[in-house]
Amino acid sequence: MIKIENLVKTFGKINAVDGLNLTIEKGSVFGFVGPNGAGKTTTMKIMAGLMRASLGSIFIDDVDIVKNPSIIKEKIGYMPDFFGVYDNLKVSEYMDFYADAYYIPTNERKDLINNLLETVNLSQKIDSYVDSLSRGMKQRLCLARSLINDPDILILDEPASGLDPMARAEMKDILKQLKQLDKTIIISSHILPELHQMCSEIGIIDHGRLIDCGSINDIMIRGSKYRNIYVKYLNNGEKLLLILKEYKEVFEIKEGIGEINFSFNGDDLILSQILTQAVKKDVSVVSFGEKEGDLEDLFIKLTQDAQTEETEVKQ
Amino acid sequence: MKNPVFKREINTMFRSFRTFIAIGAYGLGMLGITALILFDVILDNSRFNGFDPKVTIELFCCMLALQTMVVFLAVPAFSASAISGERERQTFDLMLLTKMSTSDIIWGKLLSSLLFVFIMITAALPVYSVVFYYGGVSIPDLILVYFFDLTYAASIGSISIFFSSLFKRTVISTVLSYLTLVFYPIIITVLTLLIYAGDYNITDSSWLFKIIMSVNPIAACLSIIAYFSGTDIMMFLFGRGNAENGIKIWQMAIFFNIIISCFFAKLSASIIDPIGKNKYR
Repeated sequence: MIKIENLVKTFGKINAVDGLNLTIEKGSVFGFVGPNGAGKTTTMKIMAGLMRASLGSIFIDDVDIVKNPSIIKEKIGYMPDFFGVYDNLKVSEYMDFYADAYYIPTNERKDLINNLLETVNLSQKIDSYVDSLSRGMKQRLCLARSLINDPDILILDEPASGLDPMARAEMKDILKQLKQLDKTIIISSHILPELHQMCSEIGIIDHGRLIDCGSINDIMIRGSKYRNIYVKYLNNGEKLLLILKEYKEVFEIKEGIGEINFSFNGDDLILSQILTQAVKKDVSVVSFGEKEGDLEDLFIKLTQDAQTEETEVKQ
Repeated sequence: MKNPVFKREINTMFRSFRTFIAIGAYGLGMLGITALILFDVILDNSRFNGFDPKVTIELFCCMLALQTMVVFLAVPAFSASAISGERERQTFDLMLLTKMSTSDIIWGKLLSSLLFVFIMITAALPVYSVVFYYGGVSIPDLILVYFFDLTYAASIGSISIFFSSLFKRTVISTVLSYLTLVFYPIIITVLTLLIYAGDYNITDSSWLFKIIMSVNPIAACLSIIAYFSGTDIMMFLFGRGNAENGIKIWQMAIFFNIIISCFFAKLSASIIDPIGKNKYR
């Protein structure tokens, strides 16, 4: 289990991370979400031992890694958002260099490198120069590198940034594979639908503070005050519109072609009444249902709320 | 050598065309200059005065000066990008993540620069054979020169790596390395001249004088040339005085170069340590 307690990192007068508290369960896939400059990368760099915290603690299995940084190199694998590769090395040599740098015995390296390259689907490129790899392949190579010390915790900062849809899908498949290996994976990403698919929990961070944390569904329920309902129909849409306007629980009605969306703060009984009434008034309903929450909308809403609260406090 | 950075640097160094051009250019340069001196000095001497073995020592001293100059020019060019180059390539953080200590990284970089210098000056070894052909210089003398130049390269390399650790841009670290290495001996020379102005009779082998002179690479180079010429630096420069009784200035310079190398390597390792004890929190 990872426990971050009151983590602070200041750069001059700016608090990049401002009293962050967070708990990440062992074996979970945790998504770190936040706008640019929210403090995600800074937090990840502190966890990876690339930056010293100004205050606070990070516990991995009850050991404070801020005070015992040597543990980081054993337990954590990190893939930064921007990284370079040694172009004049072959893929196998590149991996061998990092295996050497982790002091992995020479006789164990060959199998380890082969296995890791197989995991990231780069076995066929083992003798190619790193220079000749595509961006997606380099990204996967860097992922293989971050696994070379067999870390319990894998920190991936924007692993899919700059990749085309195909490469992103490949990266997603590999991460799903890694999920099976019982590693704790922490991912930051701007591509929220992807996090939605992969993460068991997310933490929304803004201005260095945690705004909300938990399973995506819990956050959705907490974050959205109203239910979003859609009705698809073939004809008599104007009648449906009149019915909806009769209910005080219905608001923010949006009309589309053959479709009406609205926000609703009532219970299922009232919803069934609306549907019955629509059918009685000859509205040819094709489908009627509740839309799944949109993580992206929720993220924007939560970060905007946090900003508004901050402005109010300052005033 | 178990240092992973050193192994990787060596591996990639010999894949770079730049390495072969540098070594080839140095070898050809040495050969050309030696040939010029040979024709001009040795053949002239032998025609009119018979062959004088002292001339080979002069030739050897010229080669030593040239070699030291090349070390001075080449080492910062390679070392000043040691850390800043990794930062620019965005590979630096990845190296810090590994189990290597920051000292391992710095020493790996420094030793690979030294190995390059060693290979470069060794490539010119056949040129030195001309000196052996005429006699007057022994193999231990040559080993001594190599050792002197390697310690000098280590001190220059460590200073360049220090700037490379301090600044993110290679251009800045390279410029500052050269500026420091050019102005530092000039400032020391001016200081020495100010302290000992007009005093050509330094015969007491003053330790202060020796220390000031030994930290000056120009003086150290002149001292070793004077040593091979069988004289003293004061005698060599001014035709009078005697300042090198006991331990020689160039011997102290070797010691000083080793101290400088260790100091700046340690300092650089501390600078690049992201979570070091003395890091700003």
